[in-house]
Amino acid sequence: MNALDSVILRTTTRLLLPVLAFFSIVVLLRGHNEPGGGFIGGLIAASGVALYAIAHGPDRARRLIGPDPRWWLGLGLTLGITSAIPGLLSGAGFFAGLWVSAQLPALGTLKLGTPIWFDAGVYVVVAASMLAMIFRLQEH
Amino acid sequence: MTWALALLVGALYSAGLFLALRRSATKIVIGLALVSHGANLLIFTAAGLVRGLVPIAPLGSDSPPPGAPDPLPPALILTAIVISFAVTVFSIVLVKRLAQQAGTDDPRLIGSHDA
Amino acid sequence: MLIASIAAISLFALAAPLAHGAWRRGAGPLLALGVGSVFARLAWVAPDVTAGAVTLERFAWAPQLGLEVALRLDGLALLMSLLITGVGAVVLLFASASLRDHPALGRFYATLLAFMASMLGLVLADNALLAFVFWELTSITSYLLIGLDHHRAEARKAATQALLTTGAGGLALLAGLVTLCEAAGTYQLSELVTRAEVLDHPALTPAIALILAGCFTKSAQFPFWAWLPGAMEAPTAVSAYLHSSTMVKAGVYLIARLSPLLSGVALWDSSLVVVGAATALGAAFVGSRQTYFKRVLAYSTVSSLGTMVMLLGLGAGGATAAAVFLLAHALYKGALFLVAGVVDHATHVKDSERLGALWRSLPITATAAALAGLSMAGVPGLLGFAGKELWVKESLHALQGGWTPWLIGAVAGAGALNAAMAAQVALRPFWLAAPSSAGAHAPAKDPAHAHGPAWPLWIGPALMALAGLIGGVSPGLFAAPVALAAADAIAGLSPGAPGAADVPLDVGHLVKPGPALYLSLGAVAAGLAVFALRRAYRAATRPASALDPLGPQSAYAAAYSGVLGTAQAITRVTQNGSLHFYLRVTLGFVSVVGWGTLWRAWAGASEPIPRTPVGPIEAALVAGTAVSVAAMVLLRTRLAVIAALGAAGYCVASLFAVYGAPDLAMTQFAVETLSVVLLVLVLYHLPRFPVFRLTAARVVDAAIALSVGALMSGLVLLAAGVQLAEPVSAYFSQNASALANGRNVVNVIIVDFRALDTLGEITVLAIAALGVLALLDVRAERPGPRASAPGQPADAHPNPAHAPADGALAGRAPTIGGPA
Repeated sequence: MNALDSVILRTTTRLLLPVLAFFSIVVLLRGHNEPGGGFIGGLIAASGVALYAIAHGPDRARRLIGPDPRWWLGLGLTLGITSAIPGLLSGAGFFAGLWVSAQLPALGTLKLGTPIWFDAGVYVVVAASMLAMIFRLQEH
Repeated sequence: MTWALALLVGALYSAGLFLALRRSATKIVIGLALVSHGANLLIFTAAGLVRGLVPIAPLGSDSPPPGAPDPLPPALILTAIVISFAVTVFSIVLVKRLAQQAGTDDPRLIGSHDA
Repeated sequence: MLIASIAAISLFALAAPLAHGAWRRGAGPLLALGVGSVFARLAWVAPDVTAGAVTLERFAWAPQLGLEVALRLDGLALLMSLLITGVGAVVLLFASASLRDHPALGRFYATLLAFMASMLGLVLADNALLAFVFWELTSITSYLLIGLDHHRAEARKAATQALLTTGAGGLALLAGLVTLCEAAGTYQLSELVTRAEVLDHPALTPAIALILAGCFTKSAQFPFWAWLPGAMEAPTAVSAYLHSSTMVKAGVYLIARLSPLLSGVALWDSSLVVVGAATALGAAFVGSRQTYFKRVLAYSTVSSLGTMVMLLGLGAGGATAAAVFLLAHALYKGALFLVAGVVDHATHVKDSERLGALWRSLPITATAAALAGLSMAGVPGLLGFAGKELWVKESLHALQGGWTPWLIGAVAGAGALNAAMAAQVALRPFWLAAPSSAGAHAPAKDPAHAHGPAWPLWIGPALMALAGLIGGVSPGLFAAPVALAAADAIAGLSPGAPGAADVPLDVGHLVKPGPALYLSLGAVAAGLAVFALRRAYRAATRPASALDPLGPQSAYAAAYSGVLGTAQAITRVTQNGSLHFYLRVTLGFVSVVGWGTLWRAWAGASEPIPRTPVGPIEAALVAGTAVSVAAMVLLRTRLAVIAALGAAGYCVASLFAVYGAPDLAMTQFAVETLSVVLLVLVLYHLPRFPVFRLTAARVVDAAIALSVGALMSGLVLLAAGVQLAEPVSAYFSQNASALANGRNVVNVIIVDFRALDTLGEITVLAIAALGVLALLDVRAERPGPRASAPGQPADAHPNPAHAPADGALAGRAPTIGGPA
C-alpha cells in the first residue's frame, strides 16, 4: 500500500498538515496548564504525517520529516534523559524540575522549565515511534 | 453509573479473554487490546467517578477545585494507553510475520509447518 | 592478618590468568611463592596459637541482618589453614609442570586459587552463615576443577555428580545450621559451642540430622561416597589437593568444630561412629580390589575420612587421635597422589599392576612413595604410625566404654586393607620387578626408559613425605604441637588447661607392648599378606561385586534418573506448549482464587457502592462499547473487527471525557485513530476468520472468560467504595502549581513528579517501534503469501513464469496469492 490515488485526499492533507503540526505544538506547550502534553501532541503530529503518507506515499512523507524516524527516536530519548541533568548538577536531585521566568513585554510572564524540555522529548519519541512503524508497514 | 461501568469492565475482560483463547493469533492480539481497555477502565472507575470537574487548577488558583477527580489514575492510564498501543502493534506485526512464514496464524499449526 | 590471608589468595586468583598470560612457565612457581608466603605468615604465628592465643577479626557485612565477617584462628583452624596453604603451594608448583601444556592452565590457576581462598575462609569463619557461604564456594570451585576438561563427557558427569551430591548436602547443612543457631540464639560459632542449654531444645535432633547429612556428603561418607572416586576425573593435582588433603576434610572439620557442643549427644556420637566405621571398612574393601593408582587412593581416602568421622564420635581421646590422623593423612595421601601424578606423567600408565622397578628411573619419587606408603601402612617411625596407633587405642578404649566388638573388627579390617593398599601403590610399581608382559598390554612407554621428572614434580611429594618422616621421628618439632592444639580446640579446651590433650607422639612412648600395639602391628602384617596374595584375594572377593547394583553409585544413578524422569513427566503435563492450555489454567486459577478472596472481602465490606446518576450520554456510550465488543466476538471479517475495536476505543475515550479526564480522552482518540490505520495496514491481506460456531471447547472458554470478567466487575464495585489510605495524589494536587509551575495536575505528574517513570515508558515505546522495524526487516527464507498492493499494476510483480530459469529465483516463487 503506497499511496491512495485520490486528488481530494492529497489536496486536503496538504492543507491539513500545517494546521495539525501547529496544533500539535500548541497542545504540547499548553499541556502543563491545560489538557494536552507531549503524548497527545506527539500523537497528533504523527496522525498528520500519517495522513500525508497515506495520501502521497511514505517516500514523500519521509522527505517531509527530514532524518529517519530512528534518528528522531534517539533525539527524543536524549532530550528526555538530558532534562534530568540540570537538576542533578544544581544539587536539587536527578529529574528535579528547574524553572526560569522572564517578563516579556505585552505577553506577560514566560516560564520555561526542564519539565517542558522533558515533555518535548516525550513528544518527539511518541511521534517518531508511530511514524517509524507506519512508514515501514506502508513500505512492506 | 458505577454499576454500569463495572459491568462494562467485566464485558471487556470477558470478550478479550475469550478472544485470547481462540486459535487465531490475530484474535489473540485483538483480545489483549480489549483486555487493556478493560484494565484502564477498571482503574478509572475504581478511583471514583466525578462529573463536570477536572484535576486542573483554575487560573489564579494553586490547586484544583475541591471535589475534583483524582489526577493519579489518569496519569497512570495515559501512559498505559500509549504503551499498550505500541505492544499491540508489535504483537500484530509479529503475528503477521509468523503467518507469512507459516501460511497460517494458528500458533498450534505454525510449529508443524515450519519444521 | 586472617582477612589479609584470604584477600591475598583471592587476589592471586584474580591475577592468575594475567600472570599466566604474561609469564607462561614462570607463573606457577610465582603463584606458589605467593601462597607459600601466606603459609609462612600463618606458621609464624603458630607458636602463639599452639600456646593458646586466639586471633579474632570482625568486619560488618550486613549489620541489618546480623551478618558479620567474623574470623577466628584457633588450634583447629591453624592445623587446617597450614594444610590448605602448605599443600596448596606445593600442588600449584606440581600443576605448573604437570599441566604445562594444558590449554586452560590460566583458568585452572584461577579456579584452584579461588578454591584455596574459599577453603581458608571456611576454616577461619566464626560465623555460621559465613562458613556456609565458603562451604558452598568450595563445592562450586570443586565442580569447576573436576570439570576442567569439560570437553570430555566423563569429566562433566563426574563434576555434576560431585556438585549435586555436595550441593544437596549443602542445603541440608544450611537448614541444620540455621535450626541450631536459631535454637541457640547465636550465629557465632565460638559462642554457639558454649550454649549447652541448646542440648535440651526439641529442634536439636533434626538439626543434628541435617548437619550430619551435609558433613557426610562433603566428606564422602557411606552412602554418599560415590562422587569422590568419580571426582578422580580431575587432574591429579586437583585430586591431591581437593579430594584428599583439603575439601573432603571440610565435613570432618565442621563436625570437629561443633564437637565441643554436640559431643556426648547420643545421636551425634553413635551416628559418627557407625557411619564412620562402615565407611572406613567398606571403602577399604572396595579400594583393596582396585589396581588403578587413583582409584586405590580415592577409596583409601574415603576410608580414612570414615576413620576420622568415627574417631570424632569417640569423645576427647578420639579428638586427639582424629587430629593426629588428619595431619598424617593429609601429608602421606597428598604425597601419594602427587607420586601417582609423576608416574602418570612419566609413563602414561595408570594401572599400578602394569608397572615395576620404577626406582631406577624415578629414584626420588620412589623414595617419597616409600616414605608415604610406610606412613600410610602405619609403620613405626612415621607420623602415620602415631595416627593409627591412637586410632586403635581409642577404639579399644571405646570397647571398654560399651561399643560393640564390631567396632574393633572394623578398625582392624580397615587398618589391614589400608596397609594392603599402601603396598599396592607405593611398593608394587616402584620396588617390585616389572610384570611379565603376558596378559598385560604393553605400556605406552617402556617404564625403564621413562623420562625423569622436572623438579616441580618431585619436590612436592618429597617435601610431604619428608614432613611425615620428621613428624614421626621428632614429633615435638611441629606435628605434636599443631595436632594437639587442634585436638584441644575440638574438645573445647584451651591448651594447657586441665584435661587438655597431652599425648606424647614419639615412637618411644607409643611402642609399648599391649593390645593396641599388637593389633596395630597385626593389621600391618595382615595387610602385607593380603597384598602378597592379592590375586587370590581379588578372585575370592569377586562375588562381592554382585552387590554393586545396591551400592552408592547405583543409588545415585537411580536417584538422578528418578528426579529427571519426574521432572520430565511434570513438564510434559504442565508445559505442553499450548498457549490455549496455559491461558485456561492461569485464568481458571485466577478465577478460583479471586472469587474466594472477593467473597470474603464482600462479606466484610461496609462501604456502600457510590451512586452517580446515569445520564443519556453515558448510557449511550456504555451501550455503544458493549455492542462493539459483542461484534468483535461474533464478526468474521477482519476489517469489521478492526472497526469494532476502534469504535469500542472511541466509546471508552468518550467516557473518560465525560468523567473529568480530558487528557485521557484526547490521547485515546488519537491512539484509536492511529491503531485503526496501522491494523488495516497490517491485517488487510490476511484471510477472513473462520465462522463462529458453538462447540464444547468454546463453551468452556466462554465460561472461564465470563468468570474472570465477572470477577473484575466485582473488583471494581468493591474497590470503588473503599479508601484504604490517604491518596498520594492529594500531595500532587496541592503542590502542582507551587512546586512544578503547572496547573494541569495530570501532566505535572507525568513530566515532573513521576518523570523517571515516563522516561521508562517512552523508552519502551521506542523499543517497541524498533522491534517492529526489526521484525519487518528480517528476510524470510520463504517469501510470504503477499498479493500485490491495490492500485499497483499486477505487471510490476516479477512473474516467475517469465523469469529466466534461475535456481535461486525459482526457489523464491510466491506460494500463495500472487498475480494470477
